[in-house]
Order: sequence, then C-alpha cells, then structure tokens
Amino acid sequence: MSDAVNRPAGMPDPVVAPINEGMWRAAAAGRLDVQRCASCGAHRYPPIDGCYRCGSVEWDWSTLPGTGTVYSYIWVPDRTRPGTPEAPALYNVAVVTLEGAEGDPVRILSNVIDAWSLEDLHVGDRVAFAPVGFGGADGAGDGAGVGVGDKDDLALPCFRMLP
Amino acid sequence: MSEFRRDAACVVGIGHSAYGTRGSLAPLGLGRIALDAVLGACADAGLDARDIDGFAGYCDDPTWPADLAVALGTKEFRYSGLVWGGRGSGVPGAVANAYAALATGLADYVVVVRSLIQQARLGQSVAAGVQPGQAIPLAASYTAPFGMALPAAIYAMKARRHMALYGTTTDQFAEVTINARRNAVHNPDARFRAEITVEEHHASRLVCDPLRLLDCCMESDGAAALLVTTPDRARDLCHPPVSIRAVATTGEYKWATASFNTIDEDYVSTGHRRAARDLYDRAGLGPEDVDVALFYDGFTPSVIMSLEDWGFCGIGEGGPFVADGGIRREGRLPVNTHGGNLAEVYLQGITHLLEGVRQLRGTAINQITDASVALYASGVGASPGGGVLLSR
Repeated sequence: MSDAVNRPAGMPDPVVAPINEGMWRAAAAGRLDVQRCASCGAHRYPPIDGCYRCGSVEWDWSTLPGTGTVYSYIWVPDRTRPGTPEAPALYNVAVVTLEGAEGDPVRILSNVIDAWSLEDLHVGDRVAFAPVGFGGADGAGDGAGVGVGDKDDLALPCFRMLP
Repeated sequence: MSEFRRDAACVVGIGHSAYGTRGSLAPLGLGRIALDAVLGACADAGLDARDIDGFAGYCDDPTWPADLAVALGTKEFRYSGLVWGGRGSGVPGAVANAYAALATGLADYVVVVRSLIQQARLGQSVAAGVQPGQAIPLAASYTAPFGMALPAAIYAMKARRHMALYGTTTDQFAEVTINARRNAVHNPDARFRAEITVEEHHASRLVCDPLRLLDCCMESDGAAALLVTTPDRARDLCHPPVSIRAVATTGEYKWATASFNTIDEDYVSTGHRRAARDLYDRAGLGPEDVDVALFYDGFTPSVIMSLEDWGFCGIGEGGPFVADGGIRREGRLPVNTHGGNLAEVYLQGITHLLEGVRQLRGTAINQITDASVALYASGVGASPGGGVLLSR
C-alpha cells in the first residue's frame, strides 16, 4: 500500500477560478500556496476577496512550509471500494492547522492520504503537504470543474503523516 | 447596540401539513402542503386566512409567497422576506423578519412557513452543493473534492474535536437520541416512536465517524407554519397569545457553513454564542429562566454543543449534562419534548417552535408543568442562525 493514495472516489474536482487557480497550479508544482494580504501580510483560507484584518482587497500568493497539525478529522465509509458492512473501506477528511501563517491561524480541509484506518489519525498529529493531481487516485474527480488549462497542471493540496 | 423592543409580536396560530417520508408528499407538491400548514395555523388562531398580509421564509424555500398569496386569496400582500441560505439554522432569521415587519408596521399578520419535499437527498447534496459527477459551486471547491460531502460531516468534525478537548463520548451522543425517542413515544405526529438503547445506537451503521445512523435526523417531507401578529391584534383571536419575548441572529466572527476557519474558541460550537448573549440581553432573561429548550437536532452533537453555547453548562460540560439525565423531561432542562428532528419530523427547525408554543399554551404531549419560557436555538449553518425566546 505504500504508493496507494487514500482519497474518496467519485468526488468532483474544484472549480478553477481566478481567485483560486494559483493554488491548484502551485500544488501541481509541489508548493502549498495560500492567499496573503498584499497590505498587511495576513494569510487566509479559503480564498476570498477581502482581508479580514485590514480590509484590503489586494492580495498575492504566498508559499507556506507545508507542515501542519491535525485540528480535527473524520472517517467516512467509501462504499465504492471493497469492504464489508462491518468493516467498510474508509477515507478521512482532516482539518489541518498550517505552520508559518501570519495573522489568525490558517486551517485547511483536506485528506491525509497515507492514513487508512481509525487508529491512524489523532488530533495533534503532524502532517506534511503531499499534493494529488486533479482526477486523482482511484478515479477520484472527474474534471467537471476544470475550466481552463491542462488538468496535469492542477493538483489538490493533500497531506501525509509525519513520523 | 440599539435598544431592542421586547414582546412586539406574538404567535397566535400553529399548523402543519401531513408529515411523510422523503419524497412521499411529492404527489401533493410544495405549494399544497404549505397551504395546508398556513390554513391550519389560521384555523388554530381563528383568523380568516385572507387577512394574512406578510410571509417569512428561510432555507431558500422555493415556495413563492406570491403564489401562496394567490392561493390563499390574500387581499393585501404587504411583506415577504426570505433568509438566504441558513439551511436548518434559518428559522430565527425568518422569525426576526416577521417580528421586524410587525414591530415597524410593515404588515399586520405574518406567517412564517417552511415547506419541504426531499426529492434530491439533502443529506447527500446540500453540503457539497451537487450530486457526484456534477460541477460544483465555487464555494464548495475547498470541501467537496476532499469528500466533505455530507451535512453529518460538519457535525462529525466538530464532534471529534469536542471529544478530544473535553472527553465527550459516543455514549453521550447516544443519550441525545434516546431522549428524543423517549419523548416521541406518545406523539402521534412522530415517525420514530420506539425507544432505543445505547447498544442499538452503537450498532447502527457508521455514517461519518464518530457519528452513526442513530446520531442523524430523519429525511422527511412536510410543511409547518406559525402565524404571528401584534399583541393588540392577538387579543381578538382564539388562544392566549405566546409572546415572542426576543429574537437574535448574530453570527460568529469569520463563520461560514463549514466554519473550519472561524476563531479557535468558536469552532467546537453551534456558532451561536454571540446570538445567545444578544438574545438573553434583549429578553432580560437568562438560561436559569428557561423552562423548556428546543434545540435543533439534525445531529446529536448539536444538542450537546447547544447546552454549552446557550449557557446551561460550562464549555465542554455538555456531555456530562446529558449523561446524567439533564435533558430528560424530569431533568434540569427538558429538551425537545416532542421528539425533535431525530424522532418527530425533520422540517429544519420550525416544528421545534410549534412545540414551544404548545408548551406555553399548556397543550403539549409531554407537558412541562407551568412552563412559561421556551427557548429555540438553531444548529450549525450558514450565518446568521440564532435563537428565539417565547414566553407567556
């Protein structure tokens, strides 16, 4: 299972829009880019037009280290994969607090792609950026949201466990 | 903050359509069941339905008041207001709209109505905004691609952190459903009237760990309505009016539907602590004055977090509060005495307000002796949700 990626099957790809395209492209290039206020420097996520701290509408992308800690997480049965009613295949969704952000803590909702079962994740676990291309593993995503460019240049910001 | 004018409107009639399982009322249609609810509320009040001149809705309700007005024979159509989004948290916003319209003289008789037929499965489509395989709204781009596709997931994510921070247990979640089922046993309108055990809860299907099927409300169809007017007009109608002592819809800072980037102190909550502060302040009442609480219970952690958010216990103490029977009819704070979304019907909160009115009229199935103040509090949703305090 070392190369396998635990991602839910059949989920849509994101809508690619001017306000978020940079982060999907950065992820495909191996960087975790987050919106940063061009005026006061506060990071924010998900992308939105104005800065909660200073009110500026000017922003740019800022590359964070990509490390973080698990803030909370859930496990969801994935009935498209082999399993039994008692022990269904599970995917996780985790909220990760990102390190290196300026301003209020920045959390991102994502998947920890090398965690497979209930005991693999805990609040406070450390994780690191591990992007997964659009239309990723196990047939996840269908490209329906992709409006521009080439899907190969777009990736989701996912995470893997740190020892 | 401006001074709030208390008791400026009251509930004089309640009504509802037949309730049914998901999709079962489709042959009747949204307009017909809405009409059944509104006509029921008017009959209850003793008001000619043609005298309604205002409509308040929530949850992006697709039942157009202009159509309802034609079907009702509305003579003067003076007001309509819809709360954006909100999902199950929108009821207090609709009550606030009705209240404001009445207090300012924009209308004389406003009906708050919700009509729901679940043809698309809300449980699968609302959080993601789409069915699998379809393009999604921009705002869902940061959740749906990662499989955050169920309303249950929003509560499960908060519940997990509540468990990690405070030691809350799945036994305590189970007690919320046990209480709801127990209260529904004698409610003829309730769908689930059989009591359950902790073991049955734990054996139910995993929906979204840590939540199981018996942590989740039902999917159902139906419509319900509250007829609201001014205190002077209420005197001419059938029942002693139930006053809307105060209403508050105050969203948390940086709160959105999934709310994972609200401030840390607010995350493990229903998102209504500021609304609670405002509501008690406006009403001149506190949690110690509440005789019965109607908490939005789309999912069991909502009730545990509501106890904390609305000041019935300290933050993190909601689990122990339910564990020792605190929310039962004989407990410190009777909660969801009709069975709620978990056992009676799921109409996104409005049926809880109907129960509040029955409790204050003294006509509830599980009547709380001498109940004089009832609180409704909404669940997690798009801001702003909030609460309503009813009194007699």
